Parts: sequence; structure tokens; C-alpha cells
Amino acid sequence: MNIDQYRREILLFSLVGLAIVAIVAFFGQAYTLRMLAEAACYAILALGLTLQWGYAGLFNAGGMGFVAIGGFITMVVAFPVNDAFWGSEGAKALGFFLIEVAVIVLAVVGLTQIHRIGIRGKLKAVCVMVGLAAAFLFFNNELAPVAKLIETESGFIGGLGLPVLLGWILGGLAAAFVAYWIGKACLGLRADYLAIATLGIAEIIKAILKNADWLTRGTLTVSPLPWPVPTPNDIGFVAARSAYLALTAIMVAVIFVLLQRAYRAPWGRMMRAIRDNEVSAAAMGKDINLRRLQIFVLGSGLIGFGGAALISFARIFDPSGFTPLKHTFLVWVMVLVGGAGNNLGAIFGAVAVYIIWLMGEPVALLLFESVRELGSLWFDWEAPADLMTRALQARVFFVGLTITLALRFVPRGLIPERLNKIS
Amino acid sequence: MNELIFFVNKVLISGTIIGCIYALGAIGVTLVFGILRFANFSHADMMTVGAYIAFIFASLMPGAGALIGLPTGFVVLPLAIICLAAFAIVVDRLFYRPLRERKVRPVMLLVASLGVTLMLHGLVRLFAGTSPRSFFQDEKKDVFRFDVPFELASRDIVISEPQVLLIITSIVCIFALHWFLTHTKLGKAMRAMSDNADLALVSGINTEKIVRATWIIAGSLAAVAGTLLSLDVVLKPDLSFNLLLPIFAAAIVGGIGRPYGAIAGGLLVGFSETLAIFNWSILLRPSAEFLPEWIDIPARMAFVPTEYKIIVPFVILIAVLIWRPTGIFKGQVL
Amino acid sequence: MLIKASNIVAGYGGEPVLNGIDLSIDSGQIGVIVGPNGAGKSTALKSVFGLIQLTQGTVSLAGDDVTHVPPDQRVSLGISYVPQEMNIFPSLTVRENLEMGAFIRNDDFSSVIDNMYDLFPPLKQKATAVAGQLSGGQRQMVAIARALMIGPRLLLLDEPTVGLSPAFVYEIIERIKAIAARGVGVLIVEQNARRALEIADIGFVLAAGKNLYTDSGENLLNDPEVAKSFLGG
Ligand SMILES: Nc1ncnc2c1ncn2[C@@H]1O[C@H](COP(=O)(O)OP(=O)(O)OP(=O)(O)O)[C@@H](O)[C@H]1O
Ligand SMILES: [Mg+2]
Repeated sequence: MNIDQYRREILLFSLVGLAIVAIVAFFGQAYTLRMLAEAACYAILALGLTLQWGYAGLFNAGGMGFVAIGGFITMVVAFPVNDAFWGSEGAKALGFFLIEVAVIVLAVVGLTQIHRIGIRGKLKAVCVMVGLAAAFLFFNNELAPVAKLIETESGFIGGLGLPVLLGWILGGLAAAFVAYWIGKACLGLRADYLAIATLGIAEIIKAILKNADWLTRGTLTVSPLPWPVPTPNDIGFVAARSAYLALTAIMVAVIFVLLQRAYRAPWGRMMRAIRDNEVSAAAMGKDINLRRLQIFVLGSGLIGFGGAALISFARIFDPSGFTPLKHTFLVWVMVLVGGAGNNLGAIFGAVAVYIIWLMGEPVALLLFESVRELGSLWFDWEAPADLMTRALQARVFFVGLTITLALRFVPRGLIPERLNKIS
Repeated sequence: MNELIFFVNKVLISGTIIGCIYALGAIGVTLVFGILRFANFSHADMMTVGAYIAFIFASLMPGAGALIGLPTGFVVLPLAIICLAAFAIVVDRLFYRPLRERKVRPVMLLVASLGVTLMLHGLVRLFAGTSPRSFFQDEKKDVFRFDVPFELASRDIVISEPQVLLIITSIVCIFALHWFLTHTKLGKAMRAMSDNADLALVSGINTEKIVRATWIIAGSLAAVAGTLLSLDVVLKPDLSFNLLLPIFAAAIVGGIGRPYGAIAGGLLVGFSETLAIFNWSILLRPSAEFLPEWIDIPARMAFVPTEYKIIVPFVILIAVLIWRPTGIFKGQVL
Repeated sequence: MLIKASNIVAGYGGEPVLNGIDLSIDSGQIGVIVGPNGAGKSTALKSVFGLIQLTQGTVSLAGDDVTHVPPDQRVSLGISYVPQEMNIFPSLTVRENLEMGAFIRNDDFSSVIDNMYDLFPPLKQKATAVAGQLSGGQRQMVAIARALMIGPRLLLLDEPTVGLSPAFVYEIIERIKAIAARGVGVLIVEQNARRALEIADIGFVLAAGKNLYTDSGENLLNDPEVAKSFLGG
């Protein structure tokens, strides 16, 4: 490996270290620990994305959706049991509704098999379509009263009170499950279609979580989410956040080692060959799509898992808090700046970009405050009242600018993928 | 009878309106996709920017509309079109052309368009704030009511002036585009390049010129769609992702690189949306007297609750991707 | 010499595909490139047109060095190229395809289009048909006619008869002869080697990126070595 690249990596990581020291000095330990714990969660997201984009060239524009799934499942699994719900009429109604759904699903599955009794072709397609539409209409109209009943009786269904880590793992699995179906539909087609589909599914997941009050309390939010380690209420901020950071850092390390090994293994080499079009589709046959699907599912699972950790840390499940900016595009910046296809780059990108993102807030406020002062001093300019919220919104601009600049000037990232052939 | 009028107002008119918006957006997306080979994620934000540019012009020259008897926002539309077309070219110069010159894979341009969309997002919010604005602060929005000459119909068919303008303008734009694409050298070359870019190059077609023309058309249509949409409803900065998905769905349904397909796709997605969220029990209600007692028609019977509207274009998109990825009009082989 | 490519070394980034080949023809001549699959025939044609970067060698057109002229400018210099595959605009009409061939012309080229209709009569009836829906032979005619629209000095054709029925092969070959008779230099890559060499003024036999034989078409046809290895006995 080449010495220059080593030097560069050491330099970049020392810069991050220095920044952290400076932040401890200015903002204190508790704040820094919070920042690092969140950065560690983001590192998991970035590893998942770099796996998809960097290893296989798959465009996932729906990080937010997978984060939301991870967070939601964790909330359901780990949040304390809502006794008011389990004893209520709503629980019975829901049980009944679920049985109805099962019957309908069976009926629809049966309908897709009617070619066995001689109904084929167009007629079958029409039958299936009508059946699906009827099932959907029925589903909608049956769910509404049940949901209403639960909401008035007991607020929402509550959680299951199971261990948090189980929630994270199930969150990852649920994200992987959703990714499987999207991948099946879109992976044979060009990258753009996957991007569009993932963008759409993310918005849909958010819409559902935001409006299904009986599941998520919607805009009322659910808190406090439990932690897998003792919470600040038990042992204070510094100790609790240290423990959380330690846990997530270990996970990052484990994922990193596993991905590194996969990258070097024949499997990883194959993926890169596919990404760089070295193997023609004809030579590999249908296998290419299968491998892409594997990687897409795995990466989305990681994003779901990391998302679960991120949402747990915040201790509040707020569906409106999922934004494409914070949960999709920020991760993209991390991967692009860090260096797509390089796991170390993803981790570096996650920590560095997250620090800049957080520090951007006070910096933006300071900047706009002085703009306001100078403006009124020199030009009698009366700033709009919402200047400060605008200042924060303006960070979006810089996220976008960073993406375009990175593409143009450091297309391979600050810690590029090592392209020396591993024979 | 009133129920039917309700249907006309809620489905036929609304569906046409939103369908026109999607169609105008989808034409831009499909042209860019066909010629530059990437899904332009910044298109919906370009529409927003276009609307804000029109808003600025409208507030600079209040009363301009009153002179002609049309809404000011509509009168300044040509200015907004020019500005946004120029803006689209500048964006191309700054962010896409450098990548093209490096001959990167087209999907890199998609990443760049994500960057651009976020930047536009930020700029709009920075300069205009997040609160919604109306073009009709100082003007009256004309509404046309058509009395239906039937005894039982007490309601009117209602359509507003911006909606009429939107439909007329869309039709004009579409015919103008059709003429351009089939009767001018540049337009034919655009179709040629979208058909077979390598052969276009080999034939000596100046591809940068075609790219410029594409941005001008996409930008102009985005300005039209954005402005007319905000004339009809309100001007707000967070249209983008909610608009992007139906527009992409429309473009893909129509077949990539097929402007006429995009129009059909836009109307299809628009009508599907309004039909899906329409409360069908309203149409069933009159039949209640003839039905036996024990059947009661639920108060709300829609395929999709309004807050889940975005599911509709998504389902259409996925269905097309699974069954006919080239779209109904046989777009490019992908 | 109308076109002279000397000692061309070129490829697609990896190992070079062409290892120093020479090609040259004069105005009004037909040059035919033959050779086994993967020999680099198409690559040779692309390097004459400038579609791939040369690592070595030069290309000159009527004595002027054009090695570093990009392909779109070579069109203005009078070189036309018909690729092996995807050589028409499928959703444009036949007439529009021809118009696109004349994109760089700013004069009135309707007489040129009429010329093309004379050269390829089937195209006249199909003028307003969408090119993608034509038969294989008619598409090939569209492709060649498109390339002729600029009135080229040099026409590069990559396997113009591949996949055509014998009648169409004959038809196309006859047309190529007619085109050369008007003074255009034609360089063809051909699978129907025997048929093509019969009309060739010069034949180039390529194998593994090198010139194996270069001679008049007639001599090559009569050469037992060539006949055995490349013309199927
Ligand atoms: N675009 C490309 N990228 C990489 N390698 C290529 C490309 N096109 C051709 N090659 C390789 O270059 C070599 C020569 O290809 P070329 O197409 O010139 O052969 P050919 O003689 O025209 O064969 P054919 O009779 O099949 O058309 C082949 O080994 C091929 O795999
Ligand atoms: Mg070939």
C-alpha cells in the first residue's frame, strides 16, 4: 500500500481528533459524547450506504425510510407494554381485524392461482386486479374504525417491553425485508429507477408512520424510548452517553471488520467487477441481479439497524422528525466526502461530516446574526423576523453544495477506495 | 344530480388540473432523461424556483395584470420562463457539464442533481422563508360558475380563472412543443439524440447545443408548471419531493424520452390520484333509498385516505417497472 | 491517398486491440477489411473515424494529418461512418433520419434526399414510415443513405450486409459499387468476405490486431492460404 495514502489518512483522522478535543473544551463532555454517539450511529448508516453505492453502484435515495422502519420497530419492540390497550375492546377489534386481513390475503393469493381452474390471460389479470382493489378498499374501511377505537380508548397500542437490542436487530430485519421487495422490482433496471423507487417508499413510510396514530401516536410522539444501557436518569449524562457510545462504537468496529473481509473475499471482488462493468451481464446471466439484491438488502438492513440505534439515542420517536435531509442526504454527503467504496472513508466521513453539520448550527446563527447587525447598521436593512430559522434552513444549501463540489473536485472522496488490485 | 356535479368538480376538474401539472413536469424530466441519461431530481425544485421568480416579478409590477384583465402572476409568466431557462443553463454549466466532460457514468449526474435540488431548497428557504404566499394578495381570484340546467342540480360546476389558464396554457405548450420537435431541425435532432446518442455524435450533431436546448425547454416548462400551480393553490417552498414522485411516475409510465407519453402519463397519474382519494360514498348515497335497510353506506369510502395520496403514483410506478419498464409508449431500452 | 492510417495501435483501455495496422485507399476505391471474429475490424474502422484514442500511429485524410481531430469534426471534413449496430434513429421517420445525416449542412439538401431515393428506391415509399419498423435490409439502406447525406469523400461501413437475405446482400453490394463509382472512397468491414472481395480494389486481412495480408481483392481471392483460413476453403 502506498505511504502517501497512509499519511493522508493519519492526517485526516488527527484533524478529526483535534476537532473533538476543541469541542470538549468549548461545549463540554456531555455534549461531545452526544455528538460522538450520534456520529457512531451515522457511521453505521454510512457503512450501509457505502456498501450499496460504493461496492455495487446501487442508488438508494430512501435512507430516511429505512431509518424510520428501524426506529419504529425498536419503538414497538422495546417500549413498555400499554396495559390500557391490551385489556381494551380495541385489542379485540384489532385481533379480529388481523384475522380478517389474513383471510383476505389468503383469498388474494388464491385468486392469483385461478389459472389452475382455467381462467387465464387477460381475464385472470382483470380478476386479480378487481380482487386486489376490493381487498384494498375493504382493508381501508375496516381499519379506520379499529384505529379510531384504539386511539380513543388507549391512545396507541404501546410496545412489547422486550430488550432494546432485539428491537434494533428486528428493525434491521424489517428494513431488509422492505428492501427485498423494492429490490426485486427495480434492480434489473438502471440505477435511476431504484433511486426513484426508494425515494418514494421513504416518503410513503413516513406518511404512514405520521398518520397511523394508533401505532405511533403520530404527531404526539412516543417517549422516552428505552436504552440498551443505563439511561442518564439512572447514572447521569456523561456515564450513560459514554456507555451508549461504547456500545455503538463496538458495533461499528464489528461491522467494519466484517465488511472489510467481505470486500477482500471473492464475493467483494465480484461485486466490484459488476459495478465497474468488467463482467458483462451476459457472462454472469441472472446472477448479477441476485448479487445486487443481496447487497441492497444487506445495506438497507444495516441502515435500518443504525437508524434504530440513532432513534433510540434520541429517546423520542417522532415521525415528523424523519427528514430526507438528515436521514438520507446527510448520509450521502458522508459517503461521498469520505470516499465511496472505502469503509474507513465511510466512518471518517460520518464523524467528520456530523461534526461539521452540528457545528454548522452555531456558526450559521452567528453568521446571520452579524449579517443582520451589519445590514441594519450600514444599509438600514430590516431583516425578516424569521431570519434565524432561515439560517438553519440554509444548511440544506451547504449539504447540496458539498455534494456537487465533492463530485467535481474529489470524485473519489477524501479517503479513496484503494484500487490496487488484490490478487 | 348534485352528487354528479360534485364528482365533476372534485375529479374531472381537479384531475385535469393536477394531470396538466404532472404532464408539464414529466415532459421536462423525460426530455432530460432521454438526452442526458439521468433522472433529474432537481426538476420539482426548479418548478418551485420558477414560481418564486414569477412571484418576484409579480410583486415588482403590481397591477400589471389589471391592465389586461388577467392575474398578474400569469402576465409575468414569460419573464419567469426566460429567467428559469437561463437559470437551468447556468446550473448545467456549473454542475453538470464539468461531470459530462469527464465522461462520468450518467448516474453521477443524478447524484449531482440531488445536490442541486438541496441547494435550491436552501436558497428558496433562505430568501423567501418557509411561510406560504399567495399571488392573490391584492387581486381577486376570478371564479367561474356554470349553472347546470337540470332541476335537481342546485350546485354549480366551479372552475377558477387560474385553472382555466392552466389548462389553456398546457395545451398551448404541448402543441408548441410538438411543432418544435417535428418541424424544426433542432427539435428533430433532440429526438434523434434521445433515440441514439452515439449515432447523433457520429452524424456530426452538436450535442452540447442539443443539451442546451433541452435545458431551455425543461426550464421553461418547469416555470410554467410551477407558476400556474402556485396560482391555483398557494406558493410554498416544500413542494419538491411530493411533486417529484408523481412526475417521475408519469415520465416512466409514458416511456423515457417520449414527450407524448409523458403527457398521457401525467394525466393518468393525476386522474388516478383524484379517483383514489375521491369519496365514492357520495356517489352511492342517492341510491340509499332503494337499498334495503341493513346496508348502510359508510360516510367515507375512498381507495386511499388523502394523507396517503403519495401511495398512488408509487403503486403506478412499481407496477409499470414490473410489467413494462419501457412504459406504455415504448420508451428507450434500458 | 484519400485516407492513410499508418501503424495504428489502439484499444479500449486494457491491452491494445490493434497492434500496428496500416490501411489506405484512394478516392473511388473500395477497400474491404476481412478477418475472424474479434480480430479488431470494427476497432480499426473506429480508429479511422476517431472514435477511440490512438496510443500510436497517424491518420491522414488527403494528405492532412487528422489524428487528433474529434469525430464530429471529421464529419465536416467529409468522413461518414455507419456503425455495425444501432445505426439508425429508430423512432424518427426515414426522411428525418436522412435529414439528421445532413445536420451539418446549412444549404437546401432536398435534391440530395431525392438522390438517396433514387439510389435506394424502397426508401421513397417508406419516407414517412418510422425507421424502427422497417425490415433489416431497408434499415441498412437508411443507415447508408444517412451517412451519404453530407456527400462524403470517405464512407466507412461496418458489416453493412450482416443478417440480410442474399437478395438484399446483392442489392447493398451493388449500391456500394455505385457509390464508389461516384468517386467516394469506401472502406468496408465484411463478413461475406468472398462476395466483398469480389468488388474490392484492395483487401486487408486482419488477424489478432495485425495486417496479415494486403493485396488486391482478386489476388486475395486467388490466394490459397487466404482462401483456406479466411474464406471457408
Ligand atoms: N467497447 C469495447 N470495450 C472493450 N473492449 C472491446 C470493445 N469493443 C470491442 N472490444 C474488444 O476488442 C476486440 C476486437 O473487437 P472488434 O469489435 O474490433 O472485433 P471485430 O473484428 O469487429 O469482430 P466482429 O466480427 O465480431 O465484429 C475484441 O476482443 C473485443 O472484445
Ligand atoms: Mg465488428
